[in-house]
Amino acid sequence: MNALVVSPILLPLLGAVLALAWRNSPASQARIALWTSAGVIVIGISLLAALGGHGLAITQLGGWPVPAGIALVSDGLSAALVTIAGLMIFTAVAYRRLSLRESDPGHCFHPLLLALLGGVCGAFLTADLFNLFVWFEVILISSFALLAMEGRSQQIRASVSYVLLNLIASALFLIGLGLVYGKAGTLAMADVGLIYQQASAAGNGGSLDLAFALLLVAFAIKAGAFPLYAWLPASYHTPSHAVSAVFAGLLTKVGVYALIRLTTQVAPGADWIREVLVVIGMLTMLMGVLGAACQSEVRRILSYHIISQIGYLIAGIAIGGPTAIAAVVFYLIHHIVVKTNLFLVGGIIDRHRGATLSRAAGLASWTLLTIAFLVPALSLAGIPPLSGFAAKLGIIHAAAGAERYGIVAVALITGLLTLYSMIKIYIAAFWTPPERVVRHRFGLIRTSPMLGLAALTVVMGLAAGPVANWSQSVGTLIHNVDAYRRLAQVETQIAEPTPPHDALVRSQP
Amino acid sequence: MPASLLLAAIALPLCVAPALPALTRRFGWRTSWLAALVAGLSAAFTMAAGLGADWSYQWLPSLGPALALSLDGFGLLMSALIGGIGAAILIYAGGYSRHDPHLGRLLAWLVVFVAAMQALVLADDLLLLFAAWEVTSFASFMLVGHSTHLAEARAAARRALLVTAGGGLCLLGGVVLLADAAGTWRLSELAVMTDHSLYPAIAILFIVAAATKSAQFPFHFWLPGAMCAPTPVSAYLHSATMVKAGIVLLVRMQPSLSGSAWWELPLLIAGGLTIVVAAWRCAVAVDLKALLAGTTLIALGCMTVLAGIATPSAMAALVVFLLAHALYKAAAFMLAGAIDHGAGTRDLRVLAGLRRAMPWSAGLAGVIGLSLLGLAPSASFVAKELLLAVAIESGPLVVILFGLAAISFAFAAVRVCWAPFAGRPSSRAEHAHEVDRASLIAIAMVAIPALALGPLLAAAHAVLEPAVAAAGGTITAYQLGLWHGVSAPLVIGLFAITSGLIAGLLLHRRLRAWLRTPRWWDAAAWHDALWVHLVALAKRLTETMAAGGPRAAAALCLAVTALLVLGVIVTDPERLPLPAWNADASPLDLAALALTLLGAGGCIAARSRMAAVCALGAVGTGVTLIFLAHSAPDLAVTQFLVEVLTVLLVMLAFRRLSDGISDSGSKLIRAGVALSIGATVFVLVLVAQGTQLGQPVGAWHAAAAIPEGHGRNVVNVILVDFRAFDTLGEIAVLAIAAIGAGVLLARHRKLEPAT
Amino acid sequence: MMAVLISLTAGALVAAAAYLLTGRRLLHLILGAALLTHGVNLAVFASGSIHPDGVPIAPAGATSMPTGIADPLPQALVLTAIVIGFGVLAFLLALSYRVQRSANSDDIDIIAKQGNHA
Repeated sequence: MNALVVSPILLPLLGAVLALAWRNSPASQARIALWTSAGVIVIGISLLAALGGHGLAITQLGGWPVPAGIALVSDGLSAALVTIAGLMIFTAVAYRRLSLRESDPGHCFHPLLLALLGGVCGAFLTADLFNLFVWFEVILISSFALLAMEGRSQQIRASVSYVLLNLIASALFLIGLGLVYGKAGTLAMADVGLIYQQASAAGNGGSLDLAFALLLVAFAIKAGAFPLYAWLPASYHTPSHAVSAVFAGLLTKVGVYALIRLTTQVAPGADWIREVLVVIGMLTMLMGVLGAACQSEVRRILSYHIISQIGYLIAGIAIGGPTAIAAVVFYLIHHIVVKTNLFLVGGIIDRHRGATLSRAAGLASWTLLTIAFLVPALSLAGIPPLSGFAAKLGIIHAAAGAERYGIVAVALITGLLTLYSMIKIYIAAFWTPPERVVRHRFGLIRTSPMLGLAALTVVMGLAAGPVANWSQSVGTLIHNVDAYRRLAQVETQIAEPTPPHDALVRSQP
Repeated sequence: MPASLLLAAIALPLCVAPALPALTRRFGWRTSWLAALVAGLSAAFTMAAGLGADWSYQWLPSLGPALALSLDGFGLLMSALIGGIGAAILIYAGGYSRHDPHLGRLLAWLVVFVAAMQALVLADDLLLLFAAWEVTSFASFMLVGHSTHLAEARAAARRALLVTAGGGLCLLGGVVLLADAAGTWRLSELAVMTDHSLYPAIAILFIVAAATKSAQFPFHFWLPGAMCAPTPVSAYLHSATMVKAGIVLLVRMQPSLSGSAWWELPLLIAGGLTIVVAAWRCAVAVDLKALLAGTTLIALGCMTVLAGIATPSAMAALVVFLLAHALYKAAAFMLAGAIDHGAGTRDLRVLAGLRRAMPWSAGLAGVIGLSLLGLAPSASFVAKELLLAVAIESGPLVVILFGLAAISFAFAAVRVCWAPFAGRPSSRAEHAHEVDRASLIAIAMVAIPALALGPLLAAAHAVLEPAVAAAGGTITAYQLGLWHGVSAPLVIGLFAITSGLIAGLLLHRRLRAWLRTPRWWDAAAWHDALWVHLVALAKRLTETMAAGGPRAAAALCLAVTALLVLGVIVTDPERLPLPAWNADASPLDLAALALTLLGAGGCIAARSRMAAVCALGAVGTGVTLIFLAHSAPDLAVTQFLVEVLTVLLVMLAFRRLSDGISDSGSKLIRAGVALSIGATVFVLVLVAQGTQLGQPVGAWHAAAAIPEGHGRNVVNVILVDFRAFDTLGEIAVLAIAAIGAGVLLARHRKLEPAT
Repeated sequence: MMAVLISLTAGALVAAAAYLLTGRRLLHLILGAALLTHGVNLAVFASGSIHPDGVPIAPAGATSMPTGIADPLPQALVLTAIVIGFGVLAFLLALSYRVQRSANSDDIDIIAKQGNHA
């Protein structure tokens, strides 16, 4: 099983190379992308099945012991996110072929998409901070390329904000890493956490707090948190429809994932981070949802809703503790599926009716598309019994349990404004009678990628019990820093050469 | 068995609903009979289940809420009303909306609504109650907006949803706080919460939720707006059932939340103001349905006041009134729809003399009129007696409110059930026709019980008693009787009816003129304006955030970083273990540093492209030298190669531009941000070199390089062996960058530059 | 002393980068990105042990590493970071070339505004 852990990274990268080799045949490229992402899904599911909520799987790459070498660790959260990431790429590729029926997307589209998948899986699996940085860069550069790929001038210009802020995030991350290594002498996440705990207990962990401050800002930029989210609404409405759906589902969530690991594993017990995140989370929810309320283009509305949902996640992370993290885990999975789905439907609206809502109308005659929109839209707004209801309930319940009533209030207001936006899109695009009647149909096959995700949303809502149980044990496990460290040591087969303490010189007395 | 019957009462309509559109396409309006059968069966199931039946399923065991149903007397009464009236209305819908191309959709959502209402009244779990509540809101949205081609219907649907869903979110907040405070999600296990520290918040949240759903002041405006829905919808949702959901909620929260000023005062104020405002609306209404909507508001206002008073007799009055009102109001709405169909208008000013053209309807109107008036022997007479008795106990204010309500009901009875049929036939009446048989049957199905139930209530005491008891009330068979001698309630009631009759028969035109509503007094417009302003505010905020473009955003990120680090340092200055100074700088070091700094300054100061690129080269060289001077030959080599390439590429990329790169704008702010982030990095790197907390793992690498990694160059061994995975990612980045750059440049050749 | 000076240089490079990154010209953005990479690399480099003569390479035939060498791990990290930074910068250059062509301007404010409203 341990070999499985590395495969979600290698398989897509390999697929990307293969797809490049077949660059003259878009159909084969799509087939390679579908098979590769299907492979990632299968691997993710087998990991998930093997691990359940409590299990951990580790691969020490090259057999080198942690923290000298890099370890990949998969817990339930990683496995689930890998599965979902594979599913999103799979859906996006299928959507482009089945729903949009676009012609050749350019011979680099599929390779870049697969490289993005590899990077995302790498970020979800690695247990090493610098390695996380490397995968962040892989994600970043492939998303740069995907964003600007079609070469439409609007896309290229909109990418300026994206590039600029992400550059800064990477720089801050790297400086923070240097500081972490300088203080803790290690880059393995659980190791840093342990050293931080010991140092805090001894009363001198403060210098690591400075490093965490940098990591916090870097991850917050990646996650799209207030007030650092400017890159997101500036760029998400411009790329091709399949690409923006993938971005919407996956990119910011990598930042959120990193924040989870930061608060639970790298900096356990750093309460100041959570206090900062409480404020950030509430402001992110509000600013995101207000931003959405005043937009008039489908994809722009949806982009701002990503921000507000990130606010929920950050608020959950800020509350902290197994119950809240369990709620965050549930919310994260729900959100990726739902948001991608909405962007897919938004792409159809955009494609057939134009970007602005005033021009979109009369789609209600496409019954299947209506369902494919309503399910994720209502789920996003938290209408029972869809997945968003259980997800939102989890966060609110955790906030009430922790007596963070501010979060409860903001979360409820945000919920109402979310419903407002969803209804705005629904009434404009589906109810309003069209100027000219559309004759052609939008059948089952064309809608199937969206219906598939909608079905997942429904199932997640109805089977919320098992999913919540699972996320509860994942939430508990994530807080158990020792588990991650102990596992690494048990797996160590190579005798650790014990270096003399003064093997390295330091420019200090 | 009883448990599964309860479940079936909800599941059956839910399962049948999705099939109805397809069935309607096949069988036409006759499908409505099937739908009615389903609604009736769902009520029959709960009745068969018997009191005390319960069912539960652990939906979210990790949090506690379950899908729990249990049947008490009140639930049974409500369930019977929902199913029974639902059946009548579905039959009516088949007749009324026979030619609607979307009849199937209408039936489907009505049936979904039946299921949701059943779940709401049977729920024994706070969360299930909330879930059902939200589904009713959404089903109502779909039904109000049924005529999607009408902009008015779309606006009304949106308004109804925003108000009820906003209340729904209050309910969610209340439910979560209550469950947290009470330690249980079960309704049946709730203790009296009035002493809890969160009680005021919980009570207010529940009251707001109930007020939105039951259209109480100041949320009363959505209900009349929702009258643009097809009449079956108005009859069912907005008179008989959905608006009762708020009342059901208030009843369910007895006694755990009632019995304090936090509960009583808001409910009295909301209910009282609703009665006054709605009575005004009734007096000036020209539309038949608007008038009926006004009386619905009044009835709900009365129930809200009763729920606030919350004494056993008040709760008993509430339950009986709820029963009577549900029946006769559904009938009245269906009658209004029949008149609309038959005469082609709902305008009260032109409706007259329909009795010849619509004899059956006229007869039914008489039956309904008696109930609406509150005359014996109708059930509403009994209810009114109980209401007024409670009012007399509670003080003059409540007497005035309930008296006003009774006057308005009598007024409405005259205007709806008498005026359209009496008098000389208008031009409209000559073309009027009787409505179809299905509609008439449906009206009779609820109108006749509403009237006939009156004398039976006392006999049915044994059936009603559990319902009243479950609602926290007590009632005797004597109270349910029709005659209690000449009592104060009877006198007040007769006085109110007489006043209402006079107003309805003689004064209605003048009332309309006297009470002309001022233009600003339109809560719906206020609601819309609230959203418009909120969106405008949102727009201003959002534009402010995005105003500076990417540059401002970048500056913000850097400033936030500096501030956060500063904050972390300030809150605990101990976090700054700085290294000691030791003088070991060699001339090479100093030269390298000087070159780097000069280059950096040059990049900023350069006024030509060439100079800037040279300065960049200088920085690269300086950094190379620093690496070289500090035992990092590999870094130095790599850095130098990369620098040469970078400079070349920059020259290539910018070769087409004009040479000048003059800069303008807010230099001061930029310099401030730059200095603060620079200072931050300076401090952080210093801190990094202070005392270590853990032993550096680099020592392991150095020790293991030769025996384990079989290489003499430790950095190399780390890159290709110990941390080879980083290198894999690094290669991936390079490859992707190359692909991306290639795509960008290749596209450029094909595409023309856009304007 | 040296540690302080290198820290100072790293800080100065980042400050210069920040100033350039918030400038209006596309070339400034590129220069800023390049300086940022330099500053960050120096910062990471300086976080380990810096030593004028502790090259982490063993002499030929040695069976173990001599003591007193500089920490090799930050060097390895910086090496990776240099290459990654170069990849990103190269892509940025291609992008900025395209941006200039499509926007007919090298003013970031103008470019971003067009991107937002096109």
